Amino acid sequence: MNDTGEEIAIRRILVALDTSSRGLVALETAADLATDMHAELQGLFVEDESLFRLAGLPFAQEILYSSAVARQMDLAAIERSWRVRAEELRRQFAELAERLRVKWSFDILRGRIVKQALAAAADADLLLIVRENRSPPAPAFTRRAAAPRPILVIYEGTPAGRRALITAARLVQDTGNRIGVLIAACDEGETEQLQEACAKFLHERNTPAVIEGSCITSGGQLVDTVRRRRAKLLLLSRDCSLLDEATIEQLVDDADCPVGLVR
Amino acid sequence: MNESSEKNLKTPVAALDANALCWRCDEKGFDFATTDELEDLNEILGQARAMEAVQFGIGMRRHGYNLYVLGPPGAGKRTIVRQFLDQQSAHSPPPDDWCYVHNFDLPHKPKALRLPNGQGAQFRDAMQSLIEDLRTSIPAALDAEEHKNRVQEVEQEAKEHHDQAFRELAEKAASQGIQLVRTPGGFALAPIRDGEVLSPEEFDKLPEDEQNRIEQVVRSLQKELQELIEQVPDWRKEMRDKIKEMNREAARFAIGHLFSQVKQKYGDLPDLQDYLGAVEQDVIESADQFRAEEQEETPTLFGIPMQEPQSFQPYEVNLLVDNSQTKGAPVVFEEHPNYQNVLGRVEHRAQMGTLFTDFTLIKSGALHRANGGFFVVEALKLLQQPYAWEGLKRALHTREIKIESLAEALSLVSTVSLEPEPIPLDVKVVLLGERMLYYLLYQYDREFAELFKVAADFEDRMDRSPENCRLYARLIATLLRREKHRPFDRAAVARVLEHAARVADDSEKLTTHVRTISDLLREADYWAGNNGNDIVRAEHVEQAIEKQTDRVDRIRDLIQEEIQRGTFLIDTDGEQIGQVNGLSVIDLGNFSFGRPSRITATARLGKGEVIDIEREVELGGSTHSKGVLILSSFLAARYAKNHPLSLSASLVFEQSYGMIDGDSASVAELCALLSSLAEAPIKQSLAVTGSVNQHGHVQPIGGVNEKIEGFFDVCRFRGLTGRQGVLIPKSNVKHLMLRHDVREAATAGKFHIWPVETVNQAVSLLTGLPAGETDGSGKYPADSLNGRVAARLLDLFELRKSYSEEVKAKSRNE
Repeated sequence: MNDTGEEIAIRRILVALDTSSRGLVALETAADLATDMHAELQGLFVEDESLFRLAGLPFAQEILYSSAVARQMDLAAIERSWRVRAEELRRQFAELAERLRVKWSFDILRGRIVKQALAAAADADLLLIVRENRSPPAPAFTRRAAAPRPILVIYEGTPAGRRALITAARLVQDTGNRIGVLIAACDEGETEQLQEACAKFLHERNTPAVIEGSCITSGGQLVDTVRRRRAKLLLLSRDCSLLDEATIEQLVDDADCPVGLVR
Repeated sequence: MNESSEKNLKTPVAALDANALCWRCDEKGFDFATTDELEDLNEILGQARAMEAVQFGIGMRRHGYNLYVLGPPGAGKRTIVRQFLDQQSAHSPPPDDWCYVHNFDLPHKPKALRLPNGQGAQFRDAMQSLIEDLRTSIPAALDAEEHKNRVQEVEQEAKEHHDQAFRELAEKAASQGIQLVRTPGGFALAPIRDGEVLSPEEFDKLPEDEQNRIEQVVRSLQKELQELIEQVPDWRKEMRDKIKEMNREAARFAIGHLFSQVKQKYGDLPDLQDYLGAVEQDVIESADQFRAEEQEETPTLFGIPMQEPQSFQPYEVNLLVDNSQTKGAPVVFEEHPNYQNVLGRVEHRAQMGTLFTDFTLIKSGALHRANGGFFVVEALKLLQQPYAWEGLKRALHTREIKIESLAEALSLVSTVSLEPEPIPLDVKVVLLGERMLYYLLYQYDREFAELFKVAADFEDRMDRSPENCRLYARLIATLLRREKHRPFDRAAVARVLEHAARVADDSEKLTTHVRTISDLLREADYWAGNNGNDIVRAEHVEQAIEKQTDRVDRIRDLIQEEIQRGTFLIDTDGEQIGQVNGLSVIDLGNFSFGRPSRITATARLGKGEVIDIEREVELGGSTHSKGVLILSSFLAARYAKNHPLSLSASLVFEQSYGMIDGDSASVAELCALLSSLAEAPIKQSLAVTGSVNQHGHVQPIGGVNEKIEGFFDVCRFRGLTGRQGVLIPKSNVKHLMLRHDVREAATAGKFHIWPVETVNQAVSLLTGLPAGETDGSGKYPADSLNGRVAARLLDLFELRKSYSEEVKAKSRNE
């Protein structure tokens, strides 16, 4: 495995986000990478069309998670909150990019976030998708600070997968944190081989990692595995054999963290 | 008065011998050369009565037997009481220690813990050490990998249960063509087709039945969703309870042995066992908070901590009274006895403009420190401090010290504060104060007599016996050594003793006013040093006395000067009818001196009244008026037994513009009046002092030495003629302690002191006429002074009678 210029060339990073509170963190992560790799940064705010459609239905009601109270959905209020949030993100995005001297752009679209992100990311080397959780938030049970989550990389041995490893390695550089690598292979032999290659690859870059082999053969298995790992950021190659649009949707919903697709 | 004394009164009065004017201490009576040879005096001199009272008060361990030590300021009460209490307290065991600790049941009422002497600090340190151990043991136990794994398992289980419930609802909805959609504030249920939410237009195109079905399904699912969300808090609580119980278990295991060690150490103190049990229980209950303290930063505002970390503070020990270094029973003198200094206080800590307090901010008062011993305080200082006296009485009544904020008690503030558990009080209070204060308190404060049953009345003076003089010399030696002064030779000691008699205003007594004597010793030592002497001699003592007087006698000099300049009219030679030299004393507080005053009398026809002009213009006090009224009665009783007193007389202190009181001029006034009536001139070379009763007996007065010296100074300035002198009551002779210059003048026959017992003696000396005694018919010899007075009064009566008849006849004719 060679760390060639081609392998690490990430020239354009697209961050697709909605009203999620994790959007800013994803933007900062992307901005760090963009600075490091001299990449161009593109922000894409996607207004969830599902909500827009739903709000128009006569029986549409929102059940508040904080109180279990049902209230009529107010389309105007939803649009207003989108505008406010988009404007806030644009401002923060601009401040960040200008401070880091990164070339940037910011667009607003309406639709389904995964679909819009994939369409807009045709020539992006890294696509980060952040969406408001579809599943309810985990209740806060204790006052303890949550344990730090690792960056999780799904590795199949492809060049894009290696770029994902390099990207993860760059993000933990000088922090002393370890990355988690999940080897997705069909059989034990291949898993072992990939595990060994990956370890060597990361060792050469002085990147501490926990590498696990796992027999993952379907998108559903991938989603389940990722959900249990509770990562801070999920990175995988865009050409991963297990990925299709539905799986990406599921990952974005269930990973409980930004999902990064590396080309 | 018996016959022989009557006879004595008729013989001429002789002037006093010079030796009677002043007691001279014979230095030869001392068997030492300097005070270095004398032993220290450990006993209290001249205060046997007070000492017995103090001893009784201290020995009497009953309620209310507190002491009030009476005596003038500077009498040495404080030193003597301290000396005595130090001796007494040395034989008593030191009292226990007291701590305040947190009350876990009622946090606003901190508990008081009593520990055997010296163990308070140990217990405080043991708790501090325990806290340090807890600070590490609890987080270590709760952050142990095994414990964290167990907690995470429980959390994961809860999360999975939670996620599963929502997933099942989402799947149930999906099976009916409905999607669970996340909204900014919660969830919504949306009908979908081909993975997309139906738009309103698409929904409108659906058959009505389908629309109704979708609507019904959505409503039903919404209800289920609401029920589901309503369960979330219960799941959360269940989870918290489980984790809390796990934390308790872990903490109990981690700290059990730490508490066992401390409990074992104080196994014989049930109160401490209870307290330690409460601490252990609280630590276990709050275990999770201790880990939070470890992990969370204190919130700040502009860099200022908004709240101090408090987690372990409730387990600290506030050592209120530490008697570990106390030898014997404590003897506490409080110099600033305000309410808080006496009874203790609860301080507050300001945080962001708000006041906070806790049991660690309880501060002890003097009573806490004196508990089990003695509390000594100046009565006047205590009474001057608002509510301090009331607070002390309350504590003595209830026999406990209850710390209350004065501001709260007076409703000046209404912040939440602490009510510390009262501490049992066993203290002997010794109040030091003046006599007047004692009698005022006794009269006006009903509780005073109940609480201060023992009065230790300090004597102002003591008998001048030979033995007492020797003891006094040892007292002087003790004071000199205590202040590291030069030794006094025996002549100097003798001079100090003479001064002690003068201060006592009595040649047979010595003052016990230690401050006065100490000051004299100090200043004599200074003058000796100034003169380059290693031993203080009589001349240095004399110099110190003179300089003391010089520093304060400006007013006296001023008055003397005005007399010499003729501004104040005083004759010291010649004779005058109805005019006599009286003597008064001006007291400036730290210095008093005599001033001669001219007293004049006039008499004329009248209705029998003697007018006191001072009284008429309200410059005379009631005692002075009493003296003048006695004169009137004396005149009537002696000279007008059988007819009305028909005169009108006036008496006045010439050139007196201030208040006059006392009856010490009544002999002088009577003599002036008799002179006026008898038209017998009075020798102006004499002055007279003394009070008189209705029978003409002369009674003693105060300030005899100052009065004599006041007249002597005037005479000396004008030149002593040998005819000058002062008439004093005979009963005042024992009080004579006159200056050496007066004594020397008397020795040389240039100044005389005549002791008189009756008005007859006085008037004879003043006029040179015999007073005259009554014969068998009650009549005085015609040429005697009394005969002339009686004749004059009879004339006045006749005049009045004839005048009265004329008036009556005139009115009849009309």
